[in-house]
Amino acid sequence: VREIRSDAALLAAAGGSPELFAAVFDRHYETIHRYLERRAGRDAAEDLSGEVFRIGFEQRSRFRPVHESALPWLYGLATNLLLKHWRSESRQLRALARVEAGWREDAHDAAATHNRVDAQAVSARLLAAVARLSQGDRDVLLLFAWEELTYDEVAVALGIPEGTVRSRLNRARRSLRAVLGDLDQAKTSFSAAIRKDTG
Amino acid sequence: MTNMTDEMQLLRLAKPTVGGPQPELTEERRRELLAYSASVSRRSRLGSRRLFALAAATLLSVLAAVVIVSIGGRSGDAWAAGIVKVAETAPRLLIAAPEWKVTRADEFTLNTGEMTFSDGSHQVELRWQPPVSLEDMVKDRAAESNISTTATVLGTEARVFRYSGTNDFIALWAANDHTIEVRATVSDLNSFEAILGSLRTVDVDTWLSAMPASVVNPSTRRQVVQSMLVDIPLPQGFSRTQLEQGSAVRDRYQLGAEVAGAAVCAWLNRWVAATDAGDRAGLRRAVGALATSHQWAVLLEMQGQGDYPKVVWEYADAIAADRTVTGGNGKGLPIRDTYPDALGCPRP
Repeated sequence: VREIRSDAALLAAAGGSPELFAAVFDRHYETIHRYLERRAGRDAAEDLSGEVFRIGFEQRSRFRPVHESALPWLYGLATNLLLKHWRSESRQLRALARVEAGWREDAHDAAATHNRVDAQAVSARLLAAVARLSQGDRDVLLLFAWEELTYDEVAVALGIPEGTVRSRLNRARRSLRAVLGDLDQAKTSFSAAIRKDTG
Repeated sequence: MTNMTDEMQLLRLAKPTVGGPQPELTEERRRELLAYSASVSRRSRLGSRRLFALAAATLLSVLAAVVIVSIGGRSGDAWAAGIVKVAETAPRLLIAAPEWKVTRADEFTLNTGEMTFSDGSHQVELRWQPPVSLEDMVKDRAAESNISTTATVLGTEARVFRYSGTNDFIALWAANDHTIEVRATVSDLNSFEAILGSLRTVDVDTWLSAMPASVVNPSTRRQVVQSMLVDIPLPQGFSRTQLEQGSAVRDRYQLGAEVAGAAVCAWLNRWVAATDAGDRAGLRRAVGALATSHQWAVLLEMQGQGDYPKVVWEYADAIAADRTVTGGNGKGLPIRDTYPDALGCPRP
């Protein structure tokens, strides 16, 4: 089933055969879970990931097969759930701040420690700036930057025109640039620390 | 100097590493989904008539709400009824100091809104939303803050926070039918409290009059729409009425997208119809009209503020060359399947 059917075909036929929708689940559950985990933490991801697919099944007739993959549409459902789920932005902030914790945990190398201190400063400023964006701008930015959706895929996910996607992305980038403008040195250290860790 | 690419690279590098789903929980969710979808499928076969009746009732409720809004109160002739309704439900706060101007106010609905004020060197963001648990918000803000205090704002006690390691201050309070949040990046708490102390509630006319020049006043909307359409070829039967009569506060960029978009959508609808009918003259008219979009004044004005014009031109060029548009991962996407989403067109 998985090899021979597009998501669109599976969704179209899923009403009569729920097993077909399970094939969509198999393809995309992990990706959606990771997205939710990045944005809201592991506990919320466990709660919400199944909900995304339950809603997806209910709303499968609304899926428009512009793209072969249902993933942009599922990202949209997940993003809507996040909106309703977050009681405040701070939960999100704490989830994002785990990046910093990750740096500290990985600090095996004494020579890299200095860079990591700078990296933490840049990271904190950057993520705080992300958290301060309006919800709409933040959704576009993170779907584009972290989930690597294209403009048109973000448009499908959020149900907005592609031109609006680009405008929101421009505005979000300007906000980040303003925050990072005076941190070039720290940024360099940040990048160096990352290269050392991932290289 | 940090450039546009840098901040995106940094953000991508800061993407949190996550563990992903646990296999046993994934299997559990899969079983739940199968059980749920099987159950829904059975119910839907039995209850489709009932669902139709429910949908019809919901639609009637929505229509009734629209009618109520459209005939809502009016504060003089200067403002259309719809925007007065929005203004009446908004907190209508301004910073009562001449150097502070409203610089952005393009995201209103009946119950939520955002505005940005600027004095030329600082920005203040004001947001309002329907009442939520202030205690939940306070609890969460406090967890991230190294200052937590109170201030009196317009006779109401507000909770004030500063995010740790930054000069980002936040005030939260409950007022009438909203939870209000003010944010600013300023040098110290006293500066932030001075801003809070300058907030005033104003009447509808004063509030609407404070909108920036980039915001199109509903009373001048018809004139602005007409000026935007002046160099845009329109297909036969194109109706300007809805464009001219909109009553929402619109940023000029957003209105430009609405106006240019209406024309582009109309031409692309004609292009699809002509393609299907084998109407070569109709095709030429649509292609020719959209080819002029590279010179439309409204799009040229907008191109420095956002990318809506680029999307229009991408489609105009694609139909001229009879090719697809470039979509995800460099793939070619059919024009007819993608233009409604790309340009915000109503589905034909």
